[in-house]
This record gives sequence, structure tokens and C-alpha cells, in this order.
Amino acid sequence: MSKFLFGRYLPLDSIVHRLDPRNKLMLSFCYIILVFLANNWLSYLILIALTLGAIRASTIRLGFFLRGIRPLIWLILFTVALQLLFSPAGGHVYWHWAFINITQFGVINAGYIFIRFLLIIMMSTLLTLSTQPLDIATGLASLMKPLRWVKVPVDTLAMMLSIALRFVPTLMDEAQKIMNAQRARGVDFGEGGLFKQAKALLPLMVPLFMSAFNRAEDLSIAMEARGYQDSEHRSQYRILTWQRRDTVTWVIFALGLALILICRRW
Amino acid sequence: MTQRMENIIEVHNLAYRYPDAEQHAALDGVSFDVHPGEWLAIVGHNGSGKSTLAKALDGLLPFTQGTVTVGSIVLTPETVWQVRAQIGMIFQNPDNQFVGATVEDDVAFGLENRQLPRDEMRTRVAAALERVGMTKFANRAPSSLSGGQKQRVALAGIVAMAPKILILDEATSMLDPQGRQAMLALVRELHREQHLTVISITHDIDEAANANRILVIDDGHLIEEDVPAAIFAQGERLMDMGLDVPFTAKLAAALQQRGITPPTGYQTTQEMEEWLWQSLSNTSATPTKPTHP
Repeated sequence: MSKFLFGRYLPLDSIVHRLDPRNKLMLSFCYIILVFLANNWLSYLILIALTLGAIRASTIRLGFFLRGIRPLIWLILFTVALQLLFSPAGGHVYWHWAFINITQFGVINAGYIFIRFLLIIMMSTLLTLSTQPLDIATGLASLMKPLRWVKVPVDTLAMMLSIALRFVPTLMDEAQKIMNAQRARGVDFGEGGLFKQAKALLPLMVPLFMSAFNRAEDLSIAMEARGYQDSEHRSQYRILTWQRRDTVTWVIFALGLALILICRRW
Repeated sequence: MTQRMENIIEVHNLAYRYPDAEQHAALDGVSFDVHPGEWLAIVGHNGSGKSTLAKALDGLLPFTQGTVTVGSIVLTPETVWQVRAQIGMIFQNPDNQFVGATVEDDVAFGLENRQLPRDEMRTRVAAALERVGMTKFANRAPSSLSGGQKQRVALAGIVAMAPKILILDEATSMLDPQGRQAMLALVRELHREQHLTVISITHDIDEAANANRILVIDDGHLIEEDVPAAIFAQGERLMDMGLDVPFTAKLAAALQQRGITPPTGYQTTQEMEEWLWQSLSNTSATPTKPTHP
């Protein structure tokens, strides 16, 4: 599980790391829209330059991003292959066999898809590698604030999110402990057929759920004892501040957007 | 205790039954007082009702009968938050009471609930972490801390809130001996410096030996209430109740078996040591024994 790169955080001290998490979340979101706006080679070149610039600024090695792509490589190849082989006729037909056409149109589309995948994965990997999960949670909670107007319990959701994140490593440790304890009693995890494997998970899942219930009970009592009444009537210790560098990123983003709109083939 | 003081906690005829065990009362007619600045230990074996009592004092359990008065406020559903504001509690499991995502967030949790302004929170959190020696760990996640460190963070959360009463609900029972010693030393300092009233619920008898007064609870009943020396003097009876006896009492019993009679009654470690030195130097007329320590 430790090989899993998604959601990992690399504690470095770069300008990207110091950006406001709200800003990073919004930028990533708008970046994805930008990726779908681009529709010719020139606009993709601009995007690639933007992405590589952001990665460079984060001082994280490119290798990490390639590793982020690795678990998704089959999905990417599959989608690209579908695009390549089953595109409707358009432009020059390179090869034709039964219902499979490799057309100029298909090749271009497959190329776009490939680059879009790559760019989106790289940027989202950059977001998770450069932002602590806690900051992402705080940022999300802060961005959800307008939803208060439509009666969404934003503060409660934020509290739940922060507790969930805090307990992820604790429960991972616990799961590992239970697995080892059950192995010592002779349970084989990941062996045999599908049914047998699913059955072997039972002695892991049941104690894990029970322990989560007990934890929740203990935690709620401890929270009450420390004066927690509800999520709304609280002050905030952790406060995010928008700084000049955050504004600068938006200037760069706007420039990129303008360039892409200029280059875009309508 | 004969001295008259304004009591900080008065418990009168407290009873509680868990909903799923109707015929068995977890607490049955418990009454006692706690004096301000006192260190009170509540001992009893597992399932004797100690933790139930602790939760009842803080209004975490709706007791079925009796009254609890904390700092002249009678505990009712309306006053429960006023009562809780005066009491800080530390529970047994260091992991399950850690609310914050990092150490400083956890210390700030109680302050956030009281809606303190942020500047004051920052100074209080920093001071509390300094007090328990966890300043270096302010940004660490709970999963990277040891059990003892997590309990120190819990203590820092209490220090930041500055309550008048601290209840330790078996707060050291999941710690290793070093962690336990460090934690208790810290609590002792706070008790001395800030005139904190400490109620320590424990089955660690050596922890109870440092208290001003011990309450013994068995099967939901308060059966004994006295200073440690008087409680430990009845060694046999403690064992019958499923409790341990302090180390010096065990030593005394072992000596008795070997034909040496120590003085009757409970001895602190220091008293025992002195008595041993004295009796050794009295019998050390023979030249083979060293006369100086």
C-alpha cells in the first residue's frame, strides 16, 4: 500500500507548496477545463509549457509524476486504442480492415486523448504531492462555504472530513495488525478463488468495523468532554490566507487561457 | 477527613444502570466530596463502576438517581456545558481521543469549541505545548507519535483550557512504564503549580499511593474512603477485592514469610528503606557486613 502514490504528500518547501490550498484546488479545477478547451497542437504546446513550468516550480522530480501515471497506463492505452481503431472516417484513411479504420482523424484524436490524460494526471499528482491532505480538507471546506446558502451543513462536513483524514493512517495500521493476527491464526489472505478470497476478508472486515464503532464512541465522548456542541458555533484555529503569489498564479493562468483561446481552432 | 473546606465536587447518592443490563446497577448510591486542590484516587477492579462514575461527573452519562454538584453548579441537562467547562478529562485510549489532524490542531480543539479568538488560541496553544514539552511536535500527525506523546498532547489540550478540575480516566493504563512516569510527573507539577483538583481513576496502585485520599469502589458501591496509608494497611482485604497492593506491602509480606517482622501498617518506599537500613545496621555487629551504605 505504501507504493501507492495517489494522495501522498512530499514535504518540500517550494513556491507551489506554499500556495494557498484553496487556490490550488480552484486552479486544478479550472486547469481541467483549460485542457478540454485546447484543440490544436499549438494550444497543447502552451498547456505542456504551463504544466512543466508548474512542475519545475514545485522542485519535485519528474520521476514522481511518471510513477503517478503508471497505475493508469492501461486505462490510457485502452482509451487511446479505442479512439485509434474505431474513429469514424474522416481525412485520409491509412488502413482499413473489416470495421476497423485507422484514419487521420482517429490518429489526431487518439493523440489528443493521450495528451489530455497525461496533463490531467500530472496536474492532479502535483496537487496531491505538494499539498498536505489536511490542507486539501481545509481548502475544500473553505471553498464549500457558499453552499451554506442552500442549507448544506458545511461545517459538519468539514469536521467529518478532517476526522476521516486523521483516522486513515490509524485504521490502516489497525487493518494491518488485524490481518497479521488473523494470519497467525491461519487465515490466508489473497489466496484461492474469488469466493475464497472474499470469505477470507470476513475476519478482517468484521473486527475492523467493530473497532471503528468503538473508536467513534470513544471519540465522540472525548469531543463532548472537551466542549464540542455543534460545528457552527466554533472559532477556527487553522486559517488560510490568500497571498500575492496566489494572485500571481491566476495572472499566469489567465495569460495561458488567453493564449489558448487565440490559438484555438473554432 | 475532618477538615472543613468548601467542596469543589459533591456527589450525593448517585446511581446508574446501563440500558442493556437492567438488573445490575453500574453505580449504586455513591456519595462523596472532593476538596479543592486535592488529589483523589478512585480505585477498583475492572467493571467496578469507576469509569461510569467519571463520565457521570462530567455529565456524559445521564445518571438515573442522585445529584452531582461541581463548583456550586448542580449538574442538570441545562447546566451540563457550564459543568464541563470546569472539568478537563483525559481518557484511556490515546488514539481515540485525538481529534485534531496535527498536534496543534488537537490542542486547539477545545479552544475552538469555546469560540476563542484566533490570536489568543495561538498563544495558548504555544504555551500549552511548551508546558508539556511537545513544542517540537506541533505540526506532527498523531500516527507519528508514541502513546505517551499522544497523552501529553491530550494533557496540553487540558492545560490550554485551564479547567479547575482534571479527571484522569485510566489515562496511563495503555502507556509503557516510562510514558506513565513522565505523564504522572507532569500532572503532579500541574497539580502543585496551578492548584488543580485531580481525580485519578486507576487500577495502578502505585499511582494511587501518591494521592491525598483514595476511594475504593467495588461493584458500583463506594466501600472505603481514606488516606492511602490507611487503605493499604488492609492488604489482605484489597487482594480480596481483586486489587493489587503496593510494592512495599508485597515486600513486607515476603519478609514476613522469611521470619522477619517489618513494622505493622503501610510504609511508603522511603519509610521502608529507612527501616531496612536501621534494622540492618543494628544487626551488623559482625565484621563481614559493611556498616556504611
